[in-house]
Amino acid sequence: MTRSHPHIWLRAVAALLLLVALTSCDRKPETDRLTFQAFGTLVDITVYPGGVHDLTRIESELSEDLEIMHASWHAWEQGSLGRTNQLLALGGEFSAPPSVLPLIEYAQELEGRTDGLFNPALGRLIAAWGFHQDEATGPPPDAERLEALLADPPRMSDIERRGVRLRGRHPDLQLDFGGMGKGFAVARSLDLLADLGVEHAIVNAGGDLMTRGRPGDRAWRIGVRDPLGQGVLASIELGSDEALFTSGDYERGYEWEGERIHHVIDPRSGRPSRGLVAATVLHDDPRLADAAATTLMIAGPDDWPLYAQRLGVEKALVVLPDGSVELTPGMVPRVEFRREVIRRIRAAEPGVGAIAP
Amino acid sequence: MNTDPVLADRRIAALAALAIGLQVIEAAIPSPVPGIKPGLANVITLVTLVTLGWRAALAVTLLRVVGASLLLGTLLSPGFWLSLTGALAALAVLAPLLPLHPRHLSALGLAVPAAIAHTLGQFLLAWAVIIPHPQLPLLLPPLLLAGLITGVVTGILTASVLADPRIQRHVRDPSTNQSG
Amino acid sequence: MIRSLRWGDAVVVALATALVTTSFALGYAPGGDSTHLVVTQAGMEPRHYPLNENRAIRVEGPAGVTEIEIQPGRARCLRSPGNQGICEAAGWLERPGDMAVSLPNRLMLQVHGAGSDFDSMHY
Repeated sequence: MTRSHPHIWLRAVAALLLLVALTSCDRKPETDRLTFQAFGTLVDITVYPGGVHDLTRIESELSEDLEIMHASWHAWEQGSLGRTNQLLALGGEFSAPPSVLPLIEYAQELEGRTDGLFNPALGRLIAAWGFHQDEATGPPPDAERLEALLADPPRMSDIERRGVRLRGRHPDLQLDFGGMGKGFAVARSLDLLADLGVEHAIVNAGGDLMTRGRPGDRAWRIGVRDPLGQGVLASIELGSDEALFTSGDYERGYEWEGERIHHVIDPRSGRPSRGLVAATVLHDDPRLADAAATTLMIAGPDDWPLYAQRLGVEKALVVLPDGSVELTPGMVPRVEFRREVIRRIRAAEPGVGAIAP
Repeated sequence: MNTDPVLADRRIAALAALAIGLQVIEAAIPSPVPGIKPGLANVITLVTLVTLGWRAALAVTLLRVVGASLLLGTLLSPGFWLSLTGALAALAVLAPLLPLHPRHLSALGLAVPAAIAHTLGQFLLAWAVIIPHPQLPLLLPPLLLAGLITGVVTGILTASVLADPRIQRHVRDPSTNQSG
Repeated sequence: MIRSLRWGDAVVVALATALVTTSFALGYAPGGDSTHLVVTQAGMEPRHYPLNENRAIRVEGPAGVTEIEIQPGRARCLRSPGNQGICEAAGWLERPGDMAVSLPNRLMLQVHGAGSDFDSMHY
């Protein structure tokens, strides 16, 4: 019957087209990516949907805003923070610059919760290790200098605060917000993007990032780089308003006589923290995520779960020098490892550690 | 065309019994890869499809899946749901293809898509509900290959069964709308 | 039995075989899963380089020149400004997601594959 012949070829062609469509499922770029230098690092913005927003305008507004923040909070160059440090050292009362006040408030709150492990008032100590310059170099402080720095360490509580008026009560107090500034910056950038009409985006500053909105009906796919290599350690799916921050020993630093000197200084020893290669925190408050990642790095392999709990962080993981990974129970379902890892789940009670297969 | 409902029911029952028997026997045969079976019972489904129509094939298949699982003690287990999903997926694909038989497709042309659909349906259920492991899709290519081979084998077996003159009488030809 | 085969059967079997073959190609492409290198530099459009043949690339940046070496299936940062050698230390980038960064030159190299790419890299 002639009428059934075209029938089968039509079906065959339809099936073939479907097959081709399925196999060439390479996603067309549905998001826009924008990369620029700001805040002292590589900033990478992912915007959804693609092809809709004025990327040039977004880049110029965001980079301008980030550069202002960078200058305001700069730990060693002249800016709002620099002036604040000078005035704090003088001991007189003054009005806090508006850009710096929120950071001081937040840091004071966190210092209490972390027993002083998180202490941005130790700028002098960080400077002594050579980190208050663009390219960090040695020599590291000698034992005598370290002793002097640790004899009477300044704390955030040494800043008296009454409303917007501040007074420093320790002559060596120098603020360095390196451990939390990015959290604030990323949050502000997302707000700025919202003002510019971008409701679904990722702001990534030097690898630390936060999301807002969603790319359509799926989740954001984030690749986590292996701190001990260059491959992908894991992938994490993020929803809206989730921040992922990592503090690691591979970021800023230098080699000195065979030892790796990195920029996360442990206030207790006065030296770079030891025991963890990286600490990662997932939280909906990017300021907390940033500060908590720094704190967990300092806390080290034994105590990090305790401080995670203290800070109200339920989703965190740390990487140890041998390549093994420890996670909080809340982090386990969020992470999809891409390579074989030795995994341990650590609950907050000290001394309790469950072994995960 | 024989439209006697009682006779049709008896045929369905007989075919279902045969299919259940085959499935149970097959369950006892060890397979090199667990879960991959030649699917001998699918031959019955296809023969039913071609001689008694799609609805009868649906009935036989459902009876087979439930009946075999009752006998094997796997009712409502994950294996049961996998079996059911695979069978329904195969039938879904067979529905639009049936009119092309026997003019444009032989039993082989029905069996292969049915087997692929069966494998895909089972895999999707497994991945979505039972084992949502991110690396599970790596198993799909060999599973599809096994499905293809199974389809070819089943198709050849079905074609042999259908070639028997006693069965030929009942094969429906949609263009003439009568068997024979 | 051969007599009962139809042309439709050939189409069906061909399609099914194509499906199975494609699934193998997609699922098991040996390192050929790494299809190209994406170089992202601040202020520039991302540049894609296929990882199919030997090639040398020079990227200019604020701190100097970053030299990139491409071989079939892999790439590396051969030489880059910066006294810590972070970019070079990443070594050969082979699997999708592997990346190297040169902060002085404000650029990032990352291997991309046929599979789903990430919306952002956390490091």
